[in-house]
Amino acid sequence: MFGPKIKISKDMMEKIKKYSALAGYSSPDEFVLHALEKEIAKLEEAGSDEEIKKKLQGLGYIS
Amino acid sequence: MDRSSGRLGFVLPGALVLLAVSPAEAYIGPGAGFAFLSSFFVLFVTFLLAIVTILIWPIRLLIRLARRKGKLAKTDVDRVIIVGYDGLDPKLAGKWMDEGKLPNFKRLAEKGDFQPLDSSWPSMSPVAWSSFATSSDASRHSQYDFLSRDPKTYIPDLASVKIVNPTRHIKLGKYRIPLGKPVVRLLQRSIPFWKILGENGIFSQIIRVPITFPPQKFNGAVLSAMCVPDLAGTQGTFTFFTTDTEGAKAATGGVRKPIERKGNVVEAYVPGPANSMTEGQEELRVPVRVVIDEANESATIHLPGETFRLRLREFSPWKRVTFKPGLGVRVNGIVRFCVLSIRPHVELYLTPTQIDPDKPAMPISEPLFYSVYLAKLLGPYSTLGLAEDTWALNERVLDEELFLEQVWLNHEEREKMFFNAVDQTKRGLVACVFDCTDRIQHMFWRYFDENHPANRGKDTVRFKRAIEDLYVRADELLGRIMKTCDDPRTVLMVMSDHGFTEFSRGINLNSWLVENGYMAMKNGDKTCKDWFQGVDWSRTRAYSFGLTGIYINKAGREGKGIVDPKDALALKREIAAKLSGLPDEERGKTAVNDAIVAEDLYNGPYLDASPDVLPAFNTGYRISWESAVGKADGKVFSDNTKSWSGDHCVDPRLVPGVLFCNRRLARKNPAIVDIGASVLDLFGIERPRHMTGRSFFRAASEESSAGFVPRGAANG
Amino acid sequence: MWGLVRAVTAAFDGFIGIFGGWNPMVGLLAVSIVTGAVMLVIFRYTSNQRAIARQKELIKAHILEIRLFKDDLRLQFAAQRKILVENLRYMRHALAPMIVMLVPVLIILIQLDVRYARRPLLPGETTVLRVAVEEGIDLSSVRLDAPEGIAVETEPMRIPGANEVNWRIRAEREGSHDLGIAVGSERAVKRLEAGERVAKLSEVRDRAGILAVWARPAERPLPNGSPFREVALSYPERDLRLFGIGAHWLLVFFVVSVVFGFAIKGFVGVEV
Repeated sequence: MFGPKIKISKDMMEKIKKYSALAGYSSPDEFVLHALEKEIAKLEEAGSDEEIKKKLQGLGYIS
Repeated sequence: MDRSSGRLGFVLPGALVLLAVSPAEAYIGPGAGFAFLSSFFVLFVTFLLAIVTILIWPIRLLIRLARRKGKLAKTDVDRVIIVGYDGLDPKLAGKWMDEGKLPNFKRLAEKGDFQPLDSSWPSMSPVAWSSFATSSDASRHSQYDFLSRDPKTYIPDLASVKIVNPTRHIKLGKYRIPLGKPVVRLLQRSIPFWKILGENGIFSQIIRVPITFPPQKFNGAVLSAMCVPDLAGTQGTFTFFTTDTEGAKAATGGVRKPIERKGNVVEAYVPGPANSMTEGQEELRVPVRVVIDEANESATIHLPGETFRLRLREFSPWKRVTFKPGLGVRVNGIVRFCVLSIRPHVELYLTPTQIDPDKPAMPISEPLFYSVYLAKLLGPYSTLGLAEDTWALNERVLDEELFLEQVWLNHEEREKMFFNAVDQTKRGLVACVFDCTDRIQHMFWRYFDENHPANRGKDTVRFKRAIEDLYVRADELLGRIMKTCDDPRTVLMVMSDHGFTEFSRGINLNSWLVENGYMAMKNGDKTCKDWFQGVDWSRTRAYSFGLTGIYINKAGREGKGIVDPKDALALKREIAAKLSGLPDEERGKTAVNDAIVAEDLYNGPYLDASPDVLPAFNTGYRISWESAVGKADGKVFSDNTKSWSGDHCVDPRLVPGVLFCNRRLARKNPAIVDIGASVLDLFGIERPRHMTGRSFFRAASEESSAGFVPRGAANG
Repeated sequence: MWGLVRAVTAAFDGFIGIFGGWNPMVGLLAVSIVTGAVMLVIFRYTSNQRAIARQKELIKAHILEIRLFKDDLRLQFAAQRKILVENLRYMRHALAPMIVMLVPVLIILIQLDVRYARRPLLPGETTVLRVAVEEGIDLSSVRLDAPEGIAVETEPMRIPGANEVNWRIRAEREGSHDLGIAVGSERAVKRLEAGERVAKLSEVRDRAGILAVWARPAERPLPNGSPFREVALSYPERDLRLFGIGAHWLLVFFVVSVVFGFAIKGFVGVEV
């Protein structure tokens, strides 16, 4: 209720609603989140190699 | 829940009582007064809660009705109970049902229905259970494997959860205090069907369904499972202390530590998390002193504040340990001990140090206090995602007998949670997943085949019936469950996410890619180390990691991508065609039945996260251990010699799961993706259009179409 | 038995005497704190700690159950019923320590009662000395021998129906005064305390039995065969105050001992 808010124009919101359903998203929120994540991924830095490998340790399916 | 507030809470009402005390009533004394005041406080709170409950309930009812999404259609169902037996195989179940060994499964099948349940594509637990939760295929929930990768760096990560530690800190003497908490995000997309139930006023208890970590808010309670880390932040790292210096070497999935015996005493420790409050981030430890009693084949274990005795090869109950990183911060964990050997060498096994559900270091349930509630009600329980220590058996630190004991200890905890939830639910959903079926089949499948390469140097007789016993025990549990669900308004479903088959040969897809000119190494080598160390990306067109398939090194997506996006589809088809029908000449068998291009399987919004080519392996074959970690070892085929000798990461059509139901299904070919939609249907809730699953309680003709769904995707 | 009572009383005298120059509340607080700690330790060793811990966890679990099923009235009331049942079980675990602690706590309460329930007379205050004798004794033969510092204000008032003789007496000086009472050659002494300090006060001196001596620890009982049945006087009630806040000694004792016990239970490792 009190989380961050972003303004989107009404016609854009209508488009988001329409295309999120068509594309198979469960909600317009999920669609917007995915679109933003894809853009941010292009700019974001990756985590450290060792840290991530450590996280995977013990996962039964891989060594 | 913290101690000081509890203390204050007990004292204040006590003081109120004493205002009325007279000398004649004085002689209960302060000692017993402690207990009686506590009791009075409880009575006081209970009374207060009862009043608050009665006063608030009508208001809550109005709020609930106002929030409810639409009106529910009238149905004849009050309660749905879903029992998930991870990996229960329809062929084995059918065989032992026919032999009369599984009378309860047989009775359920005769009363209602029993059909193979199409798994997801790929047929792996994180994918299949995500399809179960969201009633959608992988391209709609974005879970394709245990692992995903950062395409820019080719570095792998867990596919379902992202943990981002705070990057800003304050220095305070030797301490480095993080500003903020770690952010834990669930990467599974779409919506679990229990959230939709909640929005319609139907409460659910979801217990240990995989890929529910971090837990998400909804009107119900969920206890997370697969991918919940241990306190060290890994997916489960056991510790093995030994006085045998030969044995103290690096291990997969665990740590081997040398210890020294002085007289009858060895000093060890319980490992905890890295101390994120100091610059060096050293491992936090709790000291353990083990005093050996050779004559009685036992040991006394001293922990700070607790001493207990253990017989040789006996698992301790969960023991609580507290790590103190400094500044009064405490991190609580639980661990089990087992003294494996006393002579000639002292050997001590510790389970991974797990998050204490009573005082969780990070949320493992929603609401947060659900894990606390269960711990207080039923005692401490394993919280690690993959709580059964398969690596300890692979590494032969535990043997088959101890591994089985560990599995059943975990299972008992789960049973108690499940029956408690069923008992509480008069209207709503209970879904609980039991992992024993998956773990035992993975580790004991070799006993089915005398020639299994994993049998070399191992027992092949003593636990020959371990899997049969497992099914019999699952049947016995089902018998007890059926007794609690024996009313016409309860729908009972017993299902599995996939079946099982042999894993005797590993296929190294990276080696195959090198052999076929799609992958190249620096300096002209044919091999590379883990996680692509040595790969020449400027000459590599495709690569593989994880257990699902092959990725194209696509320009614009991959950091060092070289394949033009407009040529990518053609390349995928070329690789798929070459891989389809791949023979294992050494064994005279076809290893890959088929290889499918992602676009032919999926059409959801997360298609781009999918492996580009998904090989459908024949029975007996799986991506090799080495290939899974991005290594090319120069061999396409190799024997799997690990105890992990059964698997299901093959052609999903070969390993369907099971669906038993106390009602008849209205159609054939149910799939795991249909379960969510079916449960919504049972409660009279219309299926949202994004779901690819369909209710199997309706004939196909009754269901509206969700748009284009390719055949493969319909299977999850 | 009197020797044992005297030893215990002397121990209390010694301990409370440490705080002699201070507000009487200080000594009471000290006794309460020590009692809280000692009783906590006794509680630990006389109770089934594991069972108490388990019972408490169950009660907390059912309280959380109420939160969990906030929209389900049936489950909420079921949880409340379970809380009450578990609470009864929890109380059952307190029975053994209660029985063990009954006697020592009773002794402590009596020792505190004789010191803090009433206060000595202040110089100038009066009280009535009541001497009850055996039947057949001539009341006119009962004499009072008041020591220096005590003034006898009235002639003896004889009540034949009750076999009693009363005098009104006045304290003139601080101190412990022994009032001598005699019938012929038989003598008895009754202690009267005057002043502001904390002293053990005995209002009634009689022929207490083996157990009753514990209830009258401030003065040796009258010997059997004595012509006196009872020698009694009364003291004013004590108004205990610290920083202007007044409270009954029993309330102070209970609250402080219990609060202190709860405060240190974590450090001592006791489940309560």
